[in-house]
Amino acid sequence: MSELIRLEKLKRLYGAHLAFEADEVVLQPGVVGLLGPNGAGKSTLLNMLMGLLAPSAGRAWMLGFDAARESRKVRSRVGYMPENDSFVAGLSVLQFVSLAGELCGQKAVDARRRAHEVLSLLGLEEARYRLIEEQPTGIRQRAKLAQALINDPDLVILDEPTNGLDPAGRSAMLELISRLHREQGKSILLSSHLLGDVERVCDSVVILDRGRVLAHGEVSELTSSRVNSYRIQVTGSVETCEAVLTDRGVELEALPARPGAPPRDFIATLPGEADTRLLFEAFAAAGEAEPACLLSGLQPHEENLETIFERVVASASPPPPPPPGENHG
Amino acid sequence: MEIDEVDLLPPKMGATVVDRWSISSAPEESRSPALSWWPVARVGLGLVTKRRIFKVFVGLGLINFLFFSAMIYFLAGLAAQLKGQRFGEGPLAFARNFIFTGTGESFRDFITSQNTVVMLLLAISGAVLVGNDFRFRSLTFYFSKPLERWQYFLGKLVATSLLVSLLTLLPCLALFIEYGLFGDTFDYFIESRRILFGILAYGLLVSVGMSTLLLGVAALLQRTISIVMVWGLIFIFLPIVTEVIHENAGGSDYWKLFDFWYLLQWCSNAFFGIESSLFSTSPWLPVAALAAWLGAALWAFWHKTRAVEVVS
Repeated sequence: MSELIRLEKLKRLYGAHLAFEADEVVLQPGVVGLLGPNGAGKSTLLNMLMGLLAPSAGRAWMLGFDAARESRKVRSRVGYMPENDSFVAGLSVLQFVSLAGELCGQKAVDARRRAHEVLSLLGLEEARYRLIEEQPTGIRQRAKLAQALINDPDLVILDEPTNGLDPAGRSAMLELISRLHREQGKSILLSSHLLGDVERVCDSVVILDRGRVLAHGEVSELTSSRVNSYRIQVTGSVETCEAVLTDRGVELEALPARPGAPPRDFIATLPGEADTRLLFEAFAAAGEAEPACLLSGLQPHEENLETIFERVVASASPPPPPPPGENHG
Repeated sequence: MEIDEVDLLPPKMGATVVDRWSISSAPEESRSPALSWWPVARVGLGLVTKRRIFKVFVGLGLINFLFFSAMIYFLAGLAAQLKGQRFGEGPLAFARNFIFTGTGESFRDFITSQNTVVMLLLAISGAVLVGNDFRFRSLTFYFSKPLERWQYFLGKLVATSLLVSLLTLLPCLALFIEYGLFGDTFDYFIESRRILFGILAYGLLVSVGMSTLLLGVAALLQRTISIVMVWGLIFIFLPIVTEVIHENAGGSDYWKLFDFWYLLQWCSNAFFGIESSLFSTSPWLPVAALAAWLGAALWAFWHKTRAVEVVS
């Protein structure tokens, strides 16, 4: 399996509304996180990848198969664990998982044997003969995962797998997901709002917002772009501070401030091997030009998935609308 | 003294260590993709047949069947007893006016009488067969597997049609065979090919037609109480209203086209070769009306399943 997912100029429109757009995205096998707020286009992307939604333009491949033209092949090699409960009411856990195997083309007897194995794998030995709709959330989540694993898929798509679980259950589910990749060799596409979950298990991420792919790549690569970063607070003239820092090769990124107020908080990324002495020297020079210009706060900035996500989404946000009556001639 | 777990195992017994993380690979796809509808049908049938109310309705259908079967037996016994007697033909002809006669009408009447039980059975089975799939998001589960929409529809249609056939087509065929076997020769089977065709055609029409209608109604309404109410509207209220308009209010025959029962009855007459007073000059009208009913049901079902996407 060379590529897990490939998107080429993929676009989906609902009328005039852009639901999803991506120029070129290639994801390698591993554990991939799909991040984005509500309405970001995650569901649209997954539906197009599963072949259930036709793209307005462009093409998508999953596991080397054209998602639109070879939808059946895609779905026979992918296991999908939906976010919401989606059971066949009246079936036991074992019958439900066996049915999933039969729908994947297995004989009834083979599907039942495989269902027993997968349920044991997921620690559902005792619950297997009970009605699925009567089980607590943790067991239902595992049953959903079991039906996704019944056909030994190359890729497992998990949509909010820790929804409704208590901390212990959540931790156990994440451990299970990690082991599926580590010990069973499954690739995993994890769609979640919970950045902590994604960070804990994912090697790479795709960040979506308002239908667009804002960033994608390995988590380590995305965080390494911010090595040697500091969070600083400044007082005095912001322009002077910015000037002296950028002259010394420091990259500055303003953090959100109160509406109408100048930014005071910045993330400063220092060039090369430079250390904090560079900042002190710069502010000493700024103080000579304007005594009120001071470095009032300094702390190391640790980049994690949450900060990456906030930064990427904030940088892609459109500027706030102008106040009413303002002339934009 | 510390006791190790190993000490508790008998030496060299080859104790099995269960490694739950080592599972065999999944079996290859051994069923043709075109047959993916079968598990859907089997599970649907299983869900309905394990309900107690199903057994009640099958019991009612069975009673009716046994009644007809007993009449055939009674008639055959009567014919054997009166055979060759001076006044035998008179009482036999009299009896034939009231009991099962082996003609197309009698088989049609049997299926029609079973239709009432079928209607009740379907009204309460609709939610289990189809409605719950929408209510409990089972469609998400089904369509995330290599299953096409038409295969899902076919699976549900086969499950429902088998239920209906169990009460109509199959017992009617049994009555046909029973009646033929009680004759002096097997000529009845040869002479009654039209009747056999009528039984098969009418039985299939009732099975597939009522199942299609149920799939449409259940997909739209989903809950048992709503399905029962609309079912009552279609099979009880509409026939009464159309009959009243037809008989008393001077309405035209075209009102009959709104009566699903009437349309089935009209088709059954055509299948069995029984002459019908209405629409004899324009037979395409009831056929088109029936097609419109079924087309609307199909559209409703297709529309509702198209609205389902894997990710909600």
